[in-house]
Amino acid sequence: MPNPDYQGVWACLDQADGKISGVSLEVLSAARRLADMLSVQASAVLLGHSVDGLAAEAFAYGADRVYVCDDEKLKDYRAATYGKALESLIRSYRPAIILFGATNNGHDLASRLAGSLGTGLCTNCVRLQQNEEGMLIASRPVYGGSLMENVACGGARPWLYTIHQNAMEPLEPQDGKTGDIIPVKMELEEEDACAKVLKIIPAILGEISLTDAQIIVSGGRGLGDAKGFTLIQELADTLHAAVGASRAAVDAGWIPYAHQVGQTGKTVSPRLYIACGISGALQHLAGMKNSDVIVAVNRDENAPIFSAANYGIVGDLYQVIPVMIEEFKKVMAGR
Amino acid sequence: MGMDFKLTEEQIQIRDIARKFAVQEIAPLAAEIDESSKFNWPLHKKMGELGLIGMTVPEEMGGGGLDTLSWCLVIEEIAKASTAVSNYLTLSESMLNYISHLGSEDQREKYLAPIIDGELVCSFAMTEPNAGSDAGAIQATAKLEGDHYVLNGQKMFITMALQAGLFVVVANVNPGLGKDGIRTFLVPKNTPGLSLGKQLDLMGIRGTEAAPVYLEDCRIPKENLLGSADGFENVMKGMDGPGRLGAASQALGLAEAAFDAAMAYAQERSQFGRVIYTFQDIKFILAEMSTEIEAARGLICKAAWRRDHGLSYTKETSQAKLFAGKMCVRQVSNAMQILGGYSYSKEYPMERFYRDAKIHQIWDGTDQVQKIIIAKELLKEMK
Amino acid sequence: MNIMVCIKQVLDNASVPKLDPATGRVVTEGVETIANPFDLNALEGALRLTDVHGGEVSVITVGNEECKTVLKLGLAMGAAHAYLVKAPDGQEQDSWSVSYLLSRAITSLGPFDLVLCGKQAIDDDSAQVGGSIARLLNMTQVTYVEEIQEVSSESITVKRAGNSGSEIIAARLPALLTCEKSLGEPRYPTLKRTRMANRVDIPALDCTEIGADPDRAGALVKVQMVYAPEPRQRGELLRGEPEEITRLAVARLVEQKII
Repeated sequence: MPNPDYQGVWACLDQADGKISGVSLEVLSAARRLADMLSVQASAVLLGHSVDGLAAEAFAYGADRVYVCDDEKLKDYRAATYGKALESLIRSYRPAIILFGATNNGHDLASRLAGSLGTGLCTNCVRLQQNEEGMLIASRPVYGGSLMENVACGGARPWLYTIHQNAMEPLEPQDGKTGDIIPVKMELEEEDACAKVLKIIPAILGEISLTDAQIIVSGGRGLGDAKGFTLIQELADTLHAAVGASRAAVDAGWIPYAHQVGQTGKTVSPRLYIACGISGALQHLAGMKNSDVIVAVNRDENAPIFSAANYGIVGDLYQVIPVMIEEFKKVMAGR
Repeated sequence: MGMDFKLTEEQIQIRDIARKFAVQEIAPLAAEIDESSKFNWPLHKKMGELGLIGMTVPEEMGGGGLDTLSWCLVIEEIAKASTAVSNYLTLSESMLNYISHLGSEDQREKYLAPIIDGELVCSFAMTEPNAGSDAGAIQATAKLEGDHYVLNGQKMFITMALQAGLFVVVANVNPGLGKDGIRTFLVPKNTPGLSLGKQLDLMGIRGTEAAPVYLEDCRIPKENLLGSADGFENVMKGMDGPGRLGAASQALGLAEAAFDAAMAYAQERSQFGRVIYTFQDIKFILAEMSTEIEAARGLICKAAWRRDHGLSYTKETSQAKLFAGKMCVRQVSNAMQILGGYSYSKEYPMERFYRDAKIHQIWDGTDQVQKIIIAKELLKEMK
Repeated sequence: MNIMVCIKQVLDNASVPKLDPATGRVVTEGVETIANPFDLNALEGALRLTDVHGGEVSVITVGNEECKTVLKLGLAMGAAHAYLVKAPDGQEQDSWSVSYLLSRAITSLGPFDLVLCGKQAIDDDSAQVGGSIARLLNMTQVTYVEEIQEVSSESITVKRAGNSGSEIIAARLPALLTCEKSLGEPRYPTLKRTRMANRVDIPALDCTEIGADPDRAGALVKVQMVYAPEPRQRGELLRGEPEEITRLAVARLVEQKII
């Protein structure tokens, strides 16, 4: 039952370095579509410092209204201050639904809110749809992507959802579109934060993060040793891709855990996933099988990875990858 | 309902700890240990930390106070990953059993804890150029001179000799008495007069660093006599530990490893357009392998059960060891037949399994010695 | 320093979970279970802290008697105390209700300097319980912790995986951290501790004992249906000269505008 006291769909946007993140544009587009489906307004929430310039982009991606909470104490993302600001916004403006990006900060903030509001939270949603009875059904991968579940929130509002990366297409931006900007002043004390960000170590320059990547090149046990990743990196560089790895390669100490794809690593769904020397253990498959296209290179034609691959190349990766690099270079040079 | 083949919850937990450790920590190093032929101290110490050494030593002496069956399950799991590493455990357990049964309070105090913790390796210096299974033929001598024994002799094939900090040396105090003069002594590695020969270049169980041990006027304090001076029977009692069942469990573990590899391969490999498991020739081999493995398991479990229930187990142990050893050699050979060319390449573990298998018909009493023991026990039963 | 580690029992991920066509739910009966791997990384992180700084680690879970298995594992790895929180009968559980029950239990058992959780459970992949507990307990919250760098009596310095890189954060105690795998490979339970854990009588706490309202301890998010994702079509297997088949594969990707 819709609660008339709570209205509209909010998209809580991630921003860093004066830019709205890619996944946030997907979240905002999802909020727009959902608002249209429910015939309500879509709003964007911008929390941070010196963020008011970003409202235009939020309007272009479909926001009718943008709540801007600009505060020095919101410069760095911190659970307590962001949580406090958003909680107070919610109590004042009462949205029915709030969408977040399924990022680390998105989960951090949404889970905190769920705790304070005592309302339902569905994370990692890949689809939001109404069923025949008008219930809002969220579809989300579980068991590392081995299964899907459809869930529905009940009880108090607002309902919270985090939206999986690359699951919902961003809308075409409509430049020049405007709406209401609602500046919100917060009483935030530095004391509230309970935590200080001492330093941010940005991802290595030019290194593309696994979860954002459109293309991922991954290496596994079949590389034979740590040096094999130089070749993987070279192929990744050629394609502007991120480097992934199987658990076996990480456990062998060839590459840091941050690169691990799979159930106990990262779940990814890029446009193209190239698996090199990865046999395709269950946990790995679960973490990457939602990629649009999978290319697998393996010497063993019975390797389970081939069952998920659109193109399986049976051969020695040390013979195959150099040819790939050469060929892709030609393709990229032609652009 | 007189028979119960179920393991207790605790036995399953213990087996699973060993299994996980074997798969995650030992298996990745097994080929390297074999190739380098080096004893792996970090693994030995980790096994000590886990409590896998001294499992059957009574709790009041700092051991695990566990049953024989639990120990056999652990040995089987470790042996699936590496025969050499499983031998670290079987040797340590035998020596601990020796010292805990025959040792004085001082000796136990001094030596049990470091061995159990995996800090100290103790080797068994019994075998000689002319005395293997026939302990009565031992020629090494121990002559009492005042407060000291003076040891002289040559010991052969002494497993882990190069890493041992302590030796249990078997020698004769009075060669005129024959086997009644046999005694055992605790000899620390740095005792003057004890020296080690060159490491043996073995076919299998590589990584156990076996070498000859030489005793030349090696003087040890009188207190280092292990056990009372009562003679051969007492010495033999010290050997009456779980060790031989461990050897049988090692053979079982190795056979299982070979079977697992063959079974997996038979289901992956296609020839003539079919998975090879669907060929009768292949699946019949696997069916038979599995049956023989279960038979060996049955014999081992029964002997362990008898020991844990205070029943005689000498005959059963020798039966288990005899059967498991022969069975192991057969199964590894069968598995190789299924894997074909792959099994012959050093890239895969099967050729190591093959080299490791044969020792199971040789060590801790050859097949023939087991038969002597079984026959002797049979005769006793007739009386 | 006293630390509480929250552990969840999950289905063993060595095999794909099976669906019961009759109920539309995952089959749990007779399926092997394990402790959620990230929770064990958290436990390892906690044990390393008490190894150095002293204090005790406790472990807690929400569930039925069978869930004591993961608590016993926690004890066998080195935890000093274990607690089972019994969910109220007839109430379906979700991340919210588990967070609520745990927060009540932690309050009644505390105080703790730190509460540690895994970053997410590998069954529902929710990544929700840690943050909710932190808010319910008004604790400092730092999620996705990759490394613990320093601890003092008032604060803890950690490295967190943020959205745009790693953050070094000084957090005031008491704090709740959710932990990444890099916090530490879980140590093996020793044989001695395993057997000791078997003999421990683990208390099972109900709502009254932890001061929880049973009416609040139910699911807010209800599962409608569980289903298998569309299976991937098996694609094309290319065999032959490595150079030739690689060129072919690249050509296909270009043709289909994937590159």
